[in-house]
Amino acid sequence: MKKMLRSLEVLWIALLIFFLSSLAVQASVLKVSHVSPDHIDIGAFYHGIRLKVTGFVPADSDIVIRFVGVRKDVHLKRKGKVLGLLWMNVDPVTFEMAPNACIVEASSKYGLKMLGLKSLESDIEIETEASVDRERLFLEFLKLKKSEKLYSERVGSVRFEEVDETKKGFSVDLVVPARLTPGKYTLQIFAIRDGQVVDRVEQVIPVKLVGFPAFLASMAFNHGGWYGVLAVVIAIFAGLAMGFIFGGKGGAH
Amino acid sequence: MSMSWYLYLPIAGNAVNFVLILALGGIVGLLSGIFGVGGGFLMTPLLIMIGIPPTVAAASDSNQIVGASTSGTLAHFRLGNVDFKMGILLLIGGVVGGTVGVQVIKVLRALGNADFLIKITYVVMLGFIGTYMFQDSLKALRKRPEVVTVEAAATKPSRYARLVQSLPWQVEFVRSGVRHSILLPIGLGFLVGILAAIMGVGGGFIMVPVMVYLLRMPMHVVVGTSLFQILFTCIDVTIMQAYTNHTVDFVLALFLLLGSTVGAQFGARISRRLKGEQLKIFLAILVLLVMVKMLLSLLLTPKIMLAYTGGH
Repeated sequence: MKKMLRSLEVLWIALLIFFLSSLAVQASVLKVSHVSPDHIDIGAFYHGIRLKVTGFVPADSDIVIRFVGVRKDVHLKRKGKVLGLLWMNVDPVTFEMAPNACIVEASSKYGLKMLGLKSLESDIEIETEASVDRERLFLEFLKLKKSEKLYSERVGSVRFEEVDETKKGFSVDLVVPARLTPGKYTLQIFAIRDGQVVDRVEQVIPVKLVGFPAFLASMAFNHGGWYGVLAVVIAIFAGLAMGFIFGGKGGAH
Repeated sequence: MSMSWYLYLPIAGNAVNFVLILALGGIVGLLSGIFGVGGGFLMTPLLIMIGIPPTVAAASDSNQIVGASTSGTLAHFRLGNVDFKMGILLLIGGVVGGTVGVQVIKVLRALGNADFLIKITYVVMLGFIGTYMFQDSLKALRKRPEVVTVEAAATKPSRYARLVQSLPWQVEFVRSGVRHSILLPIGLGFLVGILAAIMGVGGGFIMVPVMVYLLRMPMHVVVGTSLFQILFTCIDVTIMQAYTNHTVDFVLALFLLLGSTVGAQFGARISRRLKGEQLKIFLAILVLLVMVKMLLSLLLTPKIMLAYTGGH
């Protein structure tokens, strides 16, 4: 009896070791070694930036990298035909908790299929009173966001580098668009194999206004009235100054 | 990459090439200087095209027009083209009409289908004004030396003229060389104010034909007075937008302004060189082109079936 208990104990321990070791392997499958820059400052001359991400993944897996913006409800109008002839904004549509930006880089087409822009459909609720095909509405939403360059996806920009039989190095330059608003963005890196996410790493990339844009935005949002008056006064003076410059030179009487 | 042509606009939330903004400002400023229209109906769609959100585009453009019309008004004032008395009366009517118009829009929005009405109003108004101005100037350009047009012009408005002359408080408008009841510019300003508020524009392109055809002011005085009036309308709009919606991007406005003030100065000079009828026919063509563009946007299948709200 005692012997049996003893062997059970051994079995338990063996199982535990096996389980823990497999966990350790799991945890080491995806490793992000470098993200640069790790935050984005929007200064006066900001017009987009390249986010460089490097790390390691298992040799037999693919990788998807996403730069996802702040989630917010987006209120839009659906266009439709009125009187069978004229195109109009007909009824309101809300895309609930849609990220303001989403840039996807994948090492394979299959990666895009799994985690590309279309995969967002599952976590964006579409609110509308109209009886319309939601999937088509979602595709139109993607079109709109793509036209603003806030959503994009592409394959083939991820570079791999062989390390050993078990893992390979990856590096990617993620192009962050010029049309960026401040907030907490998330960098998501997925290692995928056989239609499954085998591991994922997330890192917050804070985006903030600095320098002149920061000053201007705080003026505009916190002291709107004064900001408006100031904008008018400066515009008038600029107009007068230009008038005098030209009036002096030309003398068009 | 080392030298940046881009500037980040914190209110618009986008970076733009400032040379492009200067050029856009210059072209629209030139047109506004020539015709005395604010150019809002041209500038806003152009800004949207280069990636500025519609609400920010419209509000920042108003800010820009303040500067542009200051220099334009000044240029025309020097040339003796501003009828202040008429301008102020139109403005009083316009401000009251604008306030009423905003309420009208609110009611229509609540009833639904306001956008439909706005666009239809646009197409009908632009089409009507453009066609009328075009025909009228064409006639005048063709037959100027003959007596026939003078007679036609003298007989045609008799009913309207009689009505106008029967109004009380007749006043002499020296700059424009006309005599009207003060009720006339106030009433017309009121109507234009309503339309401008509904259409979401400064209203310069409606006001100009109103001054030419209904107030019978000479074209050059019309242009100067219209700019003077637009100046005040846009001061009001800029402050209101900055205060309530935070949509005025001052940096964007300043660059547009730099371009447009230069453009407006040249515009005022070109305006002086062109004859009144030529000016009218060019403005008519411009108005008709915008009308056609608007009509096409109503008729052609849109590329994207969703749109942001708040633009024109």
